Amino acid sequence: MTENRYDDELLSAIIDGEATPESVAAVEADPVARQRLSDMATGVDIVASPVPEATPERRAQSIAAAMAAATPAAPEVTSLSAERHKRDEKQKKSGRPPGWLIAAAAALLLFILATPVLFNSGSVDTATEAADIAANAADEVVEEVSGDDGEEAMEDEEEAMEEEAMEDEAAGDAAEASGNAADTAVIESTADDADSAVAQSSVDLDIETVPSIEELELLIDDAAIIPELSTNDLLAFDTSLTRAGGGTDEVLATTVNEACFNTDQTIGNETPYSLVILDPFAGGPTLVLVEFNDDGTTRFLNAETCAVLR
Amino acid sequence: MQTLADDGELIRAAQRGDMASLEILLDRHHDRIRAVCAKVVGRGADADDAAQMALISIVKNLDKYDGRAQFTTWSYRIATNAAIDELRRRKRRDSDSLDDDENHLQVVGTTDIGNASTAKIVIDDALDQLDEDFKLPVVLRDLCGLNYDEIAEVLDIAPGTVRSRIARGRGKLADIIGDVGDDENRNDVTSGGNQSTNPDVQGSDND
Repeated sequence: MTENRYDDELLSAIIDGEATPESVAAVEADPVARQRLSDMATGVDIVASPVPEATPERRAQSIAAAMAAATPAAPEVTSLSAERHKRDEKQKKSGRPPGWLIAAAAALLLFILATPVLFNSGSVDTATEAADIAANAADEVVEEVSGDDGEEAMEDEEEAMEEEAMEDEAAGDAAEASGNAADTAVIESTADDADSAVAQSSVDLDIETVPSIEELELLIDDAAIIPELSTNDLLAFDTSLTRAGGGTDEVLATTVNEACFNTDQTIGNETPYSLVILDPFAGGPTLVLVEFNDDGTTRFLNAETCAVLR
Repeated sequence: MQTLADDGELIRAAQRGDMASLEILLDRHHDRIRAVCAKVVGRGADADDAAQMALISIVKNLDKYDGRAQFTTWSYRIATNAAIDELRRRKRRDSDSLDDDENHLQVVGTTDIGNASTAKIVIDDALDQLDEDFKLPVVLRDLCGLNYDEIAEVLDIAPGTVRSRIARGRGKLADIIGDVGDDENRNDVTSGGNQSTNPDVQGSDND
């Protein structure tokens, strides 16, 4: 047995009960091999010995953390500051216009949105007054939603607040919370002020002054109402927002059509979608799905029909 | 009389979204998974972190579990991966101080070794010194009681490799114990198979 006394595979096999009786007898007859086997068995016993238990609190914490991971459709909201940073980089490269121009575009767009309502009104005031109302509404939208009013000093603080708000939403129902809040910002400020305008004015507006595609794209880029959400969040987006006017409610938003999603796109933290509500392309406010593609391009789709708007 | 659902029932229910079943499943397997993590990472706090990550991974991947492997085997794979990840995180943290006794793996109870405090230090060092390639099969064999085929499945290596690595890992431990242990008090070992002495850890039935 001398030549085998340090054959750990044989000793290990003995420990596992897989060696022949002859091998066992040979090892036991050899003091050196027997000692080696004993040391090895001691190691086995020590490895098999109990470990200190986790504290009840830590144990419960681990299980709770795992249970939290199982919560369906946990919202995954991209950091707004990160999104802004990306946009800033993009802006630097493209030489995009400053925030005040975006605000102006927002004012113009909301002015256009208010136009059908204004046309349907019977009361008359001044065009200037209506325009002021719409512009004020736009200011509210830009301030509430994008935080980009062109004043850099304010922007950081607002970004921080928005980011905090977004993180809070991530802990709860982000899609609904952020969607509704943002929608409310747009719809209420638009509708309320527009309705006020309806009550007091009807103006001969130049409907041809629709923002250009580039202007609208900038607006959407900079005032994205909902940053990037998971597809589950987007699918859960069913606000059925209405705008009061003319005695009946006008449905402005609808559920996102699942068929609109490009299944090749990554789902999760990298979900490349955003939602906006403004859509002058379709002749009236609708829900627009914004798709950010890997190649840097952006598509705008009617979130209900999936028609590509841009 | 068996009043609790077996793992298969719990898993199927959990896969259908039954959170209560999932919680029972996690509660049932936590200690076993943590024990593996503790042996591999060697420190209590890190073991808890690794066990938590393992449980989270189980939850996130439960829909992929198809029942072809035993749940214990499947979860051991996840636990060992989580433990290895924790070890690597620890290295990155660069705070690998070994002077906090509370965080060291404590060896108590079943081993009749002459000097218990020496044994504790020995096994801490021994397990830490074992390369992952040897530590994992040894832990799965001697702590969890898995057979070679099951270990091969968990670690995705050939059964022959498992046998060799277990022998080498045990040999390494024997080297360390032999260097510092008290020869007179060491146990004699007879053949007849290895039995896990840890009540928290149960291997499969077909070992």
